[in-house]
Amino acid sequence: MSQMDLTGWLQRYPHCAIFAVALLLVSDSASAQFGYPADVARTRDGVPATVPLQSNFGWGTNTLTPSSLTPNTLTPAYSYASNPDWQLGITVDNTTSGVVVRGVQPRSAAERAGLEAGDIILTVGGFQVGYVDNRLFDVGEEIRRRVDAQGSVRMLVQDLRTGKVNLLSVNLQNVSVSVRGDVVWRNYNSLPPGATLQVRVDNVSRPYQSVGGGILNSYINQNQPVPFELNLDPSYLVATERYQIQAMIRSGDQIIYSTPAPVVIDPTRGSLSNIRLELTPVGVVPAAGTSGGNNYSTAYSTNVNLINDYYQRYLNRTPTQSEMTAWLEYFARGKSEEDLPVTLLSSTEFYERSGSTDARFIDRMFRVVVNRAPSNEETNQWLQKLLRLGPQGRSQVVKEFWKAASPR
Amino acid sequence: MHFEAGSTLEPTSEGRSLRSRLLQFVATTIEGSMSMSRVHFKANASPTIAPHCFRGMRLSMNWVALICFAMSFLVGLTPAHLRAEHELQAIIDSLEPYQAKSVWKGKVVIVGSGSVAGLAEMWSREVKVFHSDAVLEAVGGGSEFGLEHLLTKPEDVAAVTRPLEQADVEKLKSAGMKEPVAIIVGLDALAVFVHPKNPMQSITPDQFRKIYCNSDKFGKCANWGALGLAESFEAKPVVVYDRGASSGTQVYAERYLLQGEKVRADAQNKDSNLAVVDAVAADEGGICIAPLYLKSDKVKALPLAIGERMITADESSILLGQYPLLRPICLVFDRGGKAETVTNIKTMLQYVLSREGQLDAVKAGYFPLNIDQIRQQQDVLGLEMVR
Repeated sequence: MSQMDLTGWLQRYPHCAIFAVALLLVSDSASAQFGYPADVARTRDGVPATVPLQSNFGWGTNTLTPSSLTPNTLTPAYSYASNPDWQLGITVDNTTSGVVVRGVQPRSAAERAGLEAGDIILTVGGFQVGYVDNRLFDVGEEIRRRVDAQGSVRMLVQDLRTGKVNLLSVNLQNVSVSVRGDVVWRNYNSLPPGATLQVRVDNVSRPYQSVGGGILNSYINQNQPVPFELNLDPSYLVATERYQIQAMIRSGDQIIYSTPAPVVIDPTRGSLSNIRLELTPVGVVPAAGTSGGNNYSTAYSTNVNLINDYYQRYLNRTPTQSEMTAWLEYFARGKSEEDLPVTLLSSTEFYERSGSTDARFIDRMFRVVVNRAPSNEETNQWLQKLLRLGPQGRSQVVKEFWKAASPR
Repeated sequence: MHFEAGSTLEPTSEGRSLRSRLLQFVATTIEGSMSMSRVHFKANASPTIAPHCFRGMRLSMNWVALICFAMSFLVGLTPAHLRAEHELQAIIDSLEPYQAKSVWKGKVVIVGSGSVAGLAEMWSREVKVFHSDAVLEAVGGGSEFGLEHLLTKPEDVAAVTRPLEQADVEKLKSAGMKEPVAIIVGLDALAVFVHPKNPMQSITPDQFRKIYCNSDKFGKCANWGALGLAESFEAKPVVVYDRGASSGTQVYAERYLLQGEKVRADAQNKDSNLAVVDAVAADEGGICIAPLYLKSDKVKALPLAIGERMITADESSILLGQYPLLRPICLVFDRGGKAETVTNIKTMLQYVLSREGQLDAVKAGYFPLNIDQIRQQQDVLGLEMVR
């Protein structure tokens, strides 16, 4: 069908433009899905791979480098649960011919399945575990990838005593502490597309101590209430410490809804359910006595802009997602804003972007921080300092420069 | 991936995605419908549409189409790029937060790469919250200096920006280290850059070696035509820009990307990575390897074609563990050394491999490991973990 015919056809049936647009929106995602090549290369029948003695760096091995395409804790697009921790209850030795069981914990899923010290786990869910081509496929991570919703997975195990290889179907133990509930928000405006929900459990007694499994990020649409399930790692929970839960809905660099105040919970005595989190739009005056999530909310978008701004000005680029996450969490811990420019100025990248000599580095530092070129005298002064301080003196020089350049 | 001799590498309309073609059709439709008169539209209305729905409305069909077009954006289908962001965030969130499981009392000294010394400063500050008696000192001097230092002071830690070789291990063992191990704590990414006008869509390891060595062993490559490029690029000479024999990037490229072969003799030496990238930006026939973060609009970072896979040079490929052009940042120590020293060093490394430690490395300019790579390092460390 030529382009002209199709255009004419669409003009006669303009409502088909809607279908075309819908197709357009879907095709982007469809091509992304079909574009992913199949997970290849590890043997599915438990035959151990030979290990060539070469580094994985450079181009990797000449055969396809085995890799799992989806990371193990990838949550599907609209799931509102963090992954539970399904455990066998064993300690292991990783070898090139499988994972040797070193110890079996009492009353564990491994004990129930009949695993003993010395048994060798060859595959989990059909995929080889242990060292393959200098690369470790950890049995715990493989279990996380292959376990089904009920917590069972098939493993090929070589029995120590008989030497026979058996296919075991093992029911694993969920060792997480689950915190379940739902989120609602007062719907003054509909949510913009691409809005994300974050639910988080924090340690109040020691705010620097994050809780394993305690953060959940997901896309949401208009439908309320939104159920959530956090699967906390119990090894992070201390009976004498206090915990709280909060949630927020973000769109781009703005927090648009959040819990007016975090809700105190106690996950140290077991799983919790029926926690209802009511989010209010950011900007609403919080009730008397509550601090409101609002300080965090305004700080959040300010921080996003700050981070983008410094990366653009000092490194001529946008920050990667890892970088944005790293600095946002850093500032959320109450750290000083000036640590960001000082760290960027001390980085190898900044040095290289300036031209990889001390003189050019000083010149560029002046230009981006105080908007002018240094005089000859200034350049010499700072060069002397760099010389005196030696190879890692740059970060110290940057700190002194920043202090000197700051308004008094 | 191979290029047929004489074939053009400009994208053809067949090669464009479904998405871009639909975009064009819809755009033409909207334009067309907006320019047509009401009378013309009614004359062409088909009985199968059920136009009775619109008969009472004053709006013309072209405005209906426009409104429907606008409303379709509220349908809420999540675009692919936002889902990719979500997946990336899931990888970052899968790193385990730190919890103090062992004791660190006393001093740990890291000697070697200067940029790791800067990162160690950050670790030192952050880890004090968990271990108030921890002391971490870092000294620069370069990777090789760090390894030399271990020969006289095996209780310290060396920071090197390359993998540890068998020869290094032997040397350290002969100096008295019982179990020298290298723990990878961060990743530095390199990329292959060409001029944006260069029609190459990707590069295979063989093509790379052919270009960079220009030898009998890998094949001669004086012009881009030798790789199958046609038209204006067929006769264009291949110009490799590099750093010269003494630079770390150069040594790394020769050792790991060219498997010990030397870079071609007619390569143009530049004195900095930035100069190398700028040279390629100015030369249509240019090619270079440089740190990935120097990517800009003026150059094209080529995706890598390895086996059947196309791997783009970006954060996503690196976090998924697919991108191979990485320089590992390694901390080398003696796993069989004195118990107290080893406990301190292992505790430090547990912090470094945690979410907090990895995000510190990110702030300092490195890429973090993903959870699979972390598990491997924890295994090398010899940590006992329950599965």
